Amino acid sequence: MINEQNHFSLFGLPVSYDVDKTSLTRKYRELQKAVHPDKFSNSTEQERLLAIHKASQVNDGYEVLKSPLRRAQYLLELNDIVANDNATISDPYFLMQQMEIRESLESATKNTDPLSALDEVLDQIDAMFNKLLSEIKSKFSESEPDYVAISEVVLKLQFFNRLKSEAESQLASFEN
Amino acid sequence: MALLQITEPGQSTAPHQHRLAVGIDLGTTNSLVASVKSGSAETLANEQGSHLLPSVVRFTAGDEVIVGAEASAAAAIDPLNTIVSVKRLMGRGLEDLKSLGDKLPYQFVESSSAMPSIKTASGEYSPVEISSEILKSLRARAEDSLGGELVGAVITVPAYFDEAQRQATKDAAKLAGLNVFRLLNEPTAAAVAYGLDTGSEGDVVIFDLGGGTFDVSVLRLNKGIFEVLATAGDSALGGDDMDHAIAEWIMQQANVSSDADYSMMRQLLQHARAAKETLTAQSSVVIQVTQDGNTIWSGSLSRTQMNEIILPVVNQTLRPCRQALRDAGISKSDIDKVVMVGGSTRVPVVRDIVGDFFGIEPLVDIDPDKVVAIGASIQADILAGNKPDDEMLLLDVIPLSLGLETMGGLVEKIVPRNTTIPIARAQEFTTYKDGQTAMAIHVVQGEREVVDDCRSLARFELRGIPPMVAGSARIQVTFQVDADGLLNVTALEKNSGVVSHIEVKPSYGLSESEIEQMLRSSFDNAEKDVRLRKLREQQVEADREILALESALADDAEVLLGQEELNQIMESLSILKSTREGDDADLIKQRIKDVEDVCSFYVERRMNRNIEKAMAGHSVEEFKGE
Repeated sequence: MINEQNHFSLFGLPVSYDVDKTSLTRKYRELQKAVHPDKFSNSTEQERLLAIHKASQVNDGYEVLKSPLRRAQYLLELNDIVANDNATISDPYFLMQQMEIRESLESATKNTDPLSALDEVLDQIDAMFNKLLSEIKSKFSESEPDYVAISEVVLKLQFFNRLKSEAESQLASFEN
Repeated sequence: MALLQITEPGQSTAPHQHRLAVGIDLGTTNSLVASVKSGSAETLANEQGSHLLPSVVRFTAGDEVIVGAEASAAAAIDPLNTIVSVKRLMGRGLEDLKSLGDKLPYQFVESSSAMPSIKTASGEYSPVEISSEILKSLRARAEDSLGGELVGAVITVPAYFDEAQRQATKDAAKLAGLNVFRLLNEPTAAAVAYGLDTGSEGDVVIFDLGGGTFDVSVLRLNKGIFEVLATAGDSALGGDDMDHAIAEWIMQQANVSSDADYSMMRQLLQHARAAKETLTAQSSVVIQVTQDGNTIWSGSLSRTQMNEIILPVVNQTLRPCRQALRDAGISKSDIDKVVMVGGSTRVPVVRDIVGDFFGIEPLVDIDPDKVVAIGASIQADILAGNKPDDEMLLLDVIPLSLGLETMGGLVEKIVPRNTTIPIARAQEFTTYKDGQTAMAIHVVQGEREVVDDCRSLARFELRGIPPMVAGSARIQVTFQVDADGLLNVTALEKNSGVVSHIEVKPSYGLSESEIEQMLRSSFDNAEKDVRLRKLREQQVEADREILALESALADDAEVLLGQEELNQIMESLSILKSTREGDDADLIKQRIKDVEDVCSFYVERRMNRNIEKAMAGHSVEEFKGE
């Protein structure tokens, strides 16, 4: 990751899971107005390169901070906890959910109206995803957040994310 | 980069002077140049009063290069030497061109570079060189019309252009002697033209169907910021495809065999295009096919019939529309406006289908042929420094994911599509053999999971890795995509701090040295002395550095620099100034570098001050929030 500066401090925000999206977006726009390379079209080559670098940092930070999942991952990272992509989850309830969704995804593609069937699956995924997000939110708000417990939820969110992009690419291929 | 600044040294313009800058729409079928003159953006006409320059280049046996309407008129009689729709060939390899092959009459030849060339009566030319002829013609038109040399240009490209196509466009501009301020996406340019015109806010869809490319972008407009949320498209879909569909219909009706000669094919295409244009206003048209001066078929085509013929082409635009909405994370009902861009949106059935899809009557207020060039010229005017207080800012995205080849020919995505640019991503690699000193990286662009299904952009060879035990080297490779959507790769071995040397082999483009070679040969007549040209380049570069630094110092030296620091900077600056008057190009280059070294802390401070100023407006509210 290219960040000499912590994303939160770059945006002048306290290090916290709670981020006010309106003010984040406003700050993002102000920052880009200050550092975007287009503002340096008549500056020295050196200054233009620095502007590209800074603007990249601002874009990267904005992406991380505005996404609830990536923000959680980033906070774990700041606390030296890596949510390993290859780790397995043993929670039987979660595994069952995963299987069910995979099955409905499979059958949606064979449905007579695959588009609406896939839309339904996507809605299902979104609902579960959002439930886990609120779980994370409350865990982060504890006075001594249990980062290990959070990282397990983050892992589950990553699974749902993958399912979501699979469903979306199926949807796109049917729209073709 | 410096190769083309061939303005007279010492001619650097004072800041208050209006600097001449243009926006160029380098289109598949037609190209335009526009400029902001006394506050209003307008396209520039040639001596005959026409604004559109047909993107057609003819190379005659007498080594004459003809661009525009005159070349276009010769397309039917001299198809092999008259190149139309060269934009479709930009950044493409021989294999791609073969797949377009049955539609193209040209004789492609493999050249020493990765880019194929077209054989003509006056030699072989690459698509980059052919495009540069169009740009040269527009540049000459602009300089005649504006009465001076241009300081720079904004050149538009389809948002859906991949990196190789963008690089090819920039190379063509370099060859044409243009200083490229920015490659701007066509839909974004159109949004600028509309946005500034109406001062609108909200979410806007730009539907851009040109001669050979289709783009759709979703933008969020807010107080001068144009933020592209998502873009999608098809870089080989446009009005040309409608023409081909209609030409095929004529061919069947007229019983012309499919192996007819090129000039017959060209004639059919011209009939098809003319019929399509006539049918935007009329309900039917009569077509006459001739051979050796005799009419061999004559018949009529109604608008309803034509709509049926071209419907499959029009329907192909809807899938990218759905995808752009999905990627932007918004639905049709969130869209406040739909703007039509590109000549092909004149076709009534296109407007109908797009209107039905979004449920909004599309906007067609600004001439769809001119809107892109106009938007580009507005940005060029700002980037030239003519409007220092302007709030406008364009935040664009990368249209296709960037990835790396991994084991087994699979792709690992490093920058997903629709990420706002500029963006940088770093990836760490290690060696798999003891003492390994080199490593190859293959960068591709596209959405598929298999390397062969994506576009190969370049192969990078890292050399000079310090020899170590297998797996212990930590090579951090940084992929930087700039605001033009162009990729730059750097590598660093983290344990030793050694910067690896990177050799880039563009898969379909021209290498630096090939560009230089082309420039050299194109300047041969004007400037015999290569040394003199190199000196001029360095002098111009030095002037640019001096001007920019002096204006920065005037701005904030007092606030940001101590006396000792200022003295140091002034000393290096005055050495550069005196060296610049001499005739040693390499020494001037070294002195520029010296100034940069001395100034690096100052440049950093300036950037931080910018950031602080930007954040200052929020401090009050921050206290409340905490």
